This record gives sequence, structure tokens and C-alpha cells, in this order.
Amino acid sequence: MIKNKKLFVFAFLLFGFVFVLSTVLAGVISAPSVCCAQTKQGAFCINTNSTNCDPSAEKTPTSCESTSYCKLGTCYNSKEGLCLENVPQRVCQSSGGTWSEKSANELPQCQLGCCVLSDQAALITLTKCKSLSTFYGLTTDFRPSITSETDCIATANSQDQGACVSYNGGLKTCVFTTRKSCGGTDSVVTMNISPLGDTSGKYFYNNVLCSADELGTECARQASTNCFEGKSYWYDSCGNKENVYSSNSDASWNNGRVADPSAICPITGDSKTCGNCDYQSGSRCSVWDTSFFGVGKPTNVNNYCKTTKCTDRNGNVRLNGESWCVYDSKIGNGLAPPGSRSFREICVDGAVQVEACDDYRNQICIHSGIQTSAGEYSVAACRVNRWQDCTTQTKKDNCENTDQRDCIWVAPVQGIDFNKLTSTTGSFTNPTAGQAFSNPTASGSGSQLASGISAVGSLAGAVSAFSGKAIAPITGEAIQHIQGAGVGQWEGNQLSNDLRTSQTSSEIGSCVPMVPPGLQFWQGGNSQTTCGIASAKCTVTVTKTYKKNILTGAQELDKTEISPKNTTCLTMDSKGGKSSATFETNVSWAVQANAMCNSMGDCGAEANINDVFTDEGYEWKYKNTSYYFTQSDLGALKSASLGQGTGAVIASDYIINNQYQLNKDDYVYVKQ
Amino acid sequence: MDNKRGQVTIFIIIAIVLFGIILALFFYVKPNFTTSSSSQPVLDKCIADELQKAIVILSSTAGLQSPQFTTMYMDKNIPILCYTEENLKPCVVQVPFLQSTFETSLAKAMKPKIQQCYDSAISDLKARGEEVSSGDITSTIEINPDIVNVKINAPTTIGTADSAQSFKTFDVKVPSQIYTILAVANSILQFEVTYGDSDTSTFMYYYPNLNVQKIRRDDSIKIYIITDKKDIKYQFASKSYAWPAGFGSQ
Repeated sequence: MIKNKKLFVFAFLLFGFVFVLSTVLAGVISAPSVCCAQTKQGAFCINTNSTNCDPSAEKTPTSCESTSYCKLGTCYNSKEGLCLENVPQRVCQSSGGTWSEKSANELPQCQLGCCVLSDQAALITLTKCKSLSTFYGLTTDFRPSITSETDCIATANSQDQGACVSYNGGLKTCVFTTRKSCGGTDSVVTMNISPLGDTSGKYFYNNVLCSADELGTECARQASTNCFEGKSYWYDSCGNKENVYSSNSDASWNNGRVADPSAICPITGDSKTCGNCDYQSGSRCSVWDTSFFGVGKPTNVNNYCKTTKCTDRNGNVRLNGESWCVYDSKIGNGLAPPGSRSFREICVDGAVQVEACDDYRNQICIHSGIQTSAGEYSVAACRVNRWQDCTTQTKKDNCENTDQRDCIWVAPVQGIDFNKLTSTTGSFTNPTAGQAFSNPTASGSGSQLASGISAVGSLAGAVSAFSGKAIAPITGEAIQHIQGAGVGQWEGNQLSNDLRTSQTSSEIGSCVPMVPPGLQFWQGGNSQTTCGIASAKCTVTVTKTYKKNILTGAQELDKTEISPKNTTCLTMDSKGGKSSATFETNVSWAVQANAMCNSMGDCGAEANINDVFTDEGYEWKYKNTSYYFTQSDLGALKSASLGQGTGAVIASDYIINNQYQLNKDDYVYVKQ
Repeated sequence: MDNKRGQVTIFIIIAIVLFGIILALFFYVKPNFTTSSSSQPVLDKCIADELQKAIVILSSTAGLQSPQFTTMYMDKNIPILCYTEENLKPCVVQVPFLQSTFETSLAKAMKPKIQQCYDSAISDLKARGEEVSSGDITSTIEINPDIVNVKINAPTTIGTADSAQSFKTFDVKVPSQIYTILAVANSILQFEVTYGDSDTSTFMYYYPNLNVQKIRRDDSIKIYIITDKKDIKYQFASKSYAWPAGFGSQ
């Protein structure tokens, strides 16, 4: 009876524990999510917490995809002739559109084709083509078989263009247009058999300008200039386009015949005498600046070729469309100060535009060069920083496989092994596999007493309880900048060689991110986990060998050995005798471990982009005593390295710890 | 004698200065001396000016008169046109048809302005001694490539019963790059939905008269600003395929 009662109580407690645990875990693992028809902020059909929902709108405890009103589909607008995917049904209908759960590819009204509009073309829907054709007063010419933009543009360019002369009761008018727009037939009308004496009808003269003398129209040649498709063209007095502008007007007029721009004058950069501008090569048609009474401007000429080249921060000339990487701090080789970011600069139409890559170094800037006859044409892009699986790589080749990831292989640090994580909350790891640790053993003559000193020098890469925002990163005009100039996928060959981390050629090593990610360390979350990967536990075995004194018969310490022999986390001071071996912490090891920590992200002791140093991000203990980097260690920091190689630490002269009082004007530090 | 010479010198200097001012006026300021003497309401300039102002104002809020769902940037509320709160998911479109939305907002904003311009034109005619009778006016606005069409239905009669002129519709065409800007914004939105990003340099290459700027914020929201390099500044925001800080760690 008593046994049954005990069993019942145990079962009840177990059930209760499981129930409570599952409730807590459910709250931790998956935050409650509902579909809000409208949130308090005004967004429609968002999966979010129920507290964000507008009380007056519907709220369903499921994904929006499972609801009728918020289901996503393709929205079609018959007036604009446009289709847009991922639109909630309710939003589409309230905007006057027609909603379908099919994708745009499956809807006939959303199919794109080539719409030819006189000498222009566009890859659009049929509805849009009809709308534009009506606007321009043209017959709809929609070609659904052409689905490529390049082919569509080629179609437009291949059309015959010339003078469309209309005779209307003795009045002769001329419009320079395409054969189809003129309504001409496929037969070619040449000057020899042209019905110039006729007084009625409409005739198309292929490759002839309206101002041609033979046509006898009222259109006078070269009355003004204007920009067309990036080049400067002459226009006659009737407003018809002629040939590309040249200061040699006769060459440009070409006896009233259409001429290829390159036949009149070659493609040019910045030029006031030739209108054959080329946007990619470095010029674009622009309006002549008349601010100083138009001094130097030829009569009737309003346009010229203006340069589209730029000058970058380093004074290099860049062509239009070129892009390159710029960094606001030294990053790479396993280091990136908190707050640092990559940028891409682009030369557009004579001006340099700055575009930031994703924050928290989720994106990095990569760049390469295309070799041309005029030199290297630089192309850069922001792309995802693939750091996530670096620490799981155990082989050098896999680690450095740039097709898969952005990592570097560095010399190992004693006590850090990424592949033997025992906890995910910034706790300790087992010693490195390359160094065999063992229990204390007896050796030598006679019996021994071996005491294994569980001397543990540890550097926990845990994030401190610090909360609040760190100094905000600087974006836009950076205080300092480093412009990428190297070719190849990564700028490593151009970045500073004085970084702390250094790659190793040995097969024994650790794989760390090339560019550590940024973390929202002030909010906790997965920052602890990420930083904790580089936590280190350095276990050292001390073996003391005793031997019997022949004379006294007492056990005397013969020798003290430390294992592993190349231990770096502790140093043994055995001066003064075999029995007075003492152990001291090795700041070099701690600094190396800290460098490994820095490689995980915004972790450990580090200076941020403003050169403000903090040591709040690490904990260094030996025998339950805390240690810190002191000011004298800054010198060691500057010459310390991660594994092989030499490096330098970007650190200021002051440290935030108990030993130093900081002038409050020297930094901004927020802790709650 | 010296006094007379000095006076002449001063007058010559004044004459040169006046001549220079007149030259500058003609060649730099270029005043318009045309006067309207036609017996019909002249609405073009008034409506064109008001329309251009309205386009500039509406562009700053992506064509929405009172945007509800916005994000703050540079002290301005920028409408979010596509949004999701989930990580690594495409955004949900909040405003699907940018051109129709802009036209609707523009028509609402211009309605009182068109009335004002019309009333002002009628007053001018009456002040010149014309007899004018006018009725209720309606208007439509269409955004087309390179121009914005304002069609006004305003039955108006000018003159006496013996000799009267009747007008029914007025068509005002205002040059503007807003059509191209809206087309580019629409393309950017489609790229955001499909890929979570867009390449602004491609748009600037195909449309050299436009400037497209993209600002990435740390909350994964992207602000897009499309300008015609003059007055129009079309702004909107998007959050698609968000990638939070430190995401994906072991």
C-alpha cells in the first residue's frame, strides 16, 4: 500500500514536471504567432505576436497562408497591365486589382512579350502594350514569341527608318519615322522612281532625312540639337531627328541621308565637337551650360557630350558603371572591429554613389576586375558573409574552400576545440585533440606520490552581463576608409598585414570566419552561443616524481614535469629547486585565446571602430582567481599573435577595468 | 572744369552699370513679356505649377496621402511598401499598384487646386469685362511617359447671347519624369518580393536621368530613394528576406 502510494506520488510529480517544462519550453522555443489582418502599425497580413494585432481587425491563430483573406497570390491590374506576386487577397481587391492564387507565370494576362513602339521596344504585357500604343497613336504591335529583352531591343533597332512624306492638298509634310509607322509597304521607294511630282498620298523614303533637298519639304536642315538615347542629334526645323551632331555640319548632314553615328565621328568621351556620346565609354548627352552667357556654344547647338567618369577617394579615374569596395576599418584575416561595415562605391553618370552592404557584416564586399584595352574595369558586389559553418570544419582544404564559405585556417590555441562543445552557454570545451592530456602517473625509482594538480587556466569567452547599446556604428562618410584595390574574389591581399590573426599552412589548426559577424551583444540572444564557441579550458597535468633519500629514507621530490610539454596557458617556474615549482598564468596564451574569441564575432576584449577598447567581453580565471589584461600587457598585445605570425592590436591606451579610472569624456558607454 | 569732367565720368559709369544690368536681365533672367489677351480661361501655367508641386510632395511618401505603415528616416515617415516580420521569408506586398495609387492621390490633391486655378481664370476674364458663365468642374489625371495629362471638364460660356464662345474641356499636359520613376519603383518592388534585393546601378544605367539610392538599415529595412535629379524624390521602404545579426551560428 505504501509502495503504491509512493509510486502514485512519483508519477504525479513526474507528470507535473513534464507539464511545466513543456509549457516553459514552448514559450522559449516558439513565441506565439498569429496572422494579423492588420497590425497596430498599419501593416496588412503579417505573421506576428498577437499583441501586435490591431484590435479592430481579424486575428487568426495560424499562418496567414492558411487564411482566406490573407492568402498570398498574384494581383493583376487591368489598367496598368501589371502583375505582382506575393500580394494578400484582401490588399489586392481593395486596390482595385484581380487576385489569383496562381503564380504570374501561369496567368495568360501576365505573360510578357515584345511591344514594338515605332523605333522603340519594351518587354511588357499585352494590356500595357495596347495602352502605350494608344498613347503614342500607334497600331499595337505585340510579339509574344519574343521573350528576351535583348531580342526585343534588337527587333526595334532593325526597323527601317526614313522620311515619311505626306501630300495633302498641295501641302507636303514630313515625319522621320519607321516604315510601319508611316504605313508604308514592304516595297522600297527610291529617289529614282520616287513619285515626287505627285500631289497626294503618303510615301516612305528609307534612310532619307526629311530635310533632304530632293524631297522638297518645308523642313530646313540642322535647326537645333537635342539628346536622343544618350547621343546628341541634329533636328530639322520640323522637329525631325537627323544625324548625330558634329561640328562639321556637312559631314553630319551627309547629303540628306541617314548615317551611322560612328561614320560621322567616332565614339567620344567629353566632347563639344562630336555628339556620338557613349554612356559606357564615359560620356552622355547633356545640355550646354549657358550660365556664362553661353560663351563657346555654337549657334543652334544646345547639347554636347559630357563626361560620365568619376574620381574616387584615392584620386583614381573610374569609368561610368565601375564599382569597387570600401571599408571603414581594417577587416579580414579573422578580425573585424565591432561597428565596422563594408561599402560598395559606384561611378554613376560622373558622380560616386556609396551603397552600404548589410549591417552586422552579414554581407561583405567582394570585387574583381575585367581586363579591357583601356585597363581594368572594376566590378564589386555586396554578398552574404558565409561564416556560419567555419567552426565545424576540421580540414584545412574544406575550411579554405571559397566556393562554400568565407573562412581562414589558423594555428590552434590550447584549450579551444570547436568540435567538442559541451555546452552552448559559454562554458568550457575539452582540450585540443592535438595535445594529449593524461592522468598523473608514477615514474622513476621507488614509489612516488603523484598529485595531479588540476590546474586549470581558463578563458571563458562568455559575453558579460553587459546590456544596453554599444557605440553606434558610423555609416555614410566614414572617419577613415580603406579602399579595396586588389583583384580576385577577396581583398585579403590588400588589407593590412598587421592584423593579429594569421593563417597557417599546418594541417593542425582551427577554422574561423574570415570576417567575423556582428552581433547584437547588448540584447543577449544567440550572442552568448556564438561567442561561447571560442571558450577555452586548458587542463594541465603536473607530475611530481619522488625518490627515496638513501641516507634519510625520506621521500624527496626528484622532478616536476608538466604535461603537455608545450603547454602555453601556464608557465612553470622551477627555479630554486625541484620542490618549488610554481605555476603562473601566461598572458600570451590569454591574448591568443582572446584573438580566437574576436574571430567569432563581437566577442572578447577588443577595440571598436571608434578605437574605444573594452575588456567586458571575456573572463579569465585560474584557480578561481580572475585575471585581466593590464596596461603593461598592451605591449604584449601589440606583438602577440594568434598561432603563427605576428600581429598588432588596435587598442587605445586605456582599459575599462578596476585598475584604471577613465575620463568620462573619452568614451560613451551605456550599461543598464 | 574738373568738376564737369568728374560729373561726366560718374554719368558714364552709371550708364555702363545700367547697360550691364539690362544685358544680364535679357541674357540671364530672360523675362517673359507675353501677355494673355485671349478670351478663354488660361489654366495651363497655374495647373502646371500646382501639379508639379503636388507631384513633389506626394513622391516623398510614395504617392500615399496619409501613409499608415511607415518607418522613420531622416525625420520623415517613409511608407513601407513590402514587409515581413519573419526572417528569411519574402515580404508581403502592402501597396500593389504604385501608378494607380499615385494617380488617385494626385487627383484628390489637385481637385481643390484645379478649382482655384479655374476660379482665378474666370475672375481674370470678368475683370477684363467679359461675361462668363461657368458650371461644376470635374477632372481626371493620367500619368503617361514623360508627361502628366490633366483633363478638366468645365462647361464655360464667354460673351453675350449674341456672340458667345463655349468651352467644355481643357487639356493640360505637364512634362514630368514620374511615369519612369514609378516604373522603376515597381521593378524594385518585384525584385524585393522575388529576391529580397535589387541592383540599383542597373536602373541608373538604363535611365541616366534618374538616381536610385538604397540605404540598408540594421533592422533589415531598406530605404529606396529615386530622384529625377531635380525636384522629385520618390521614397519607399521594404523588408524582405531579413537576415538578423549572428543568424545561423552553431
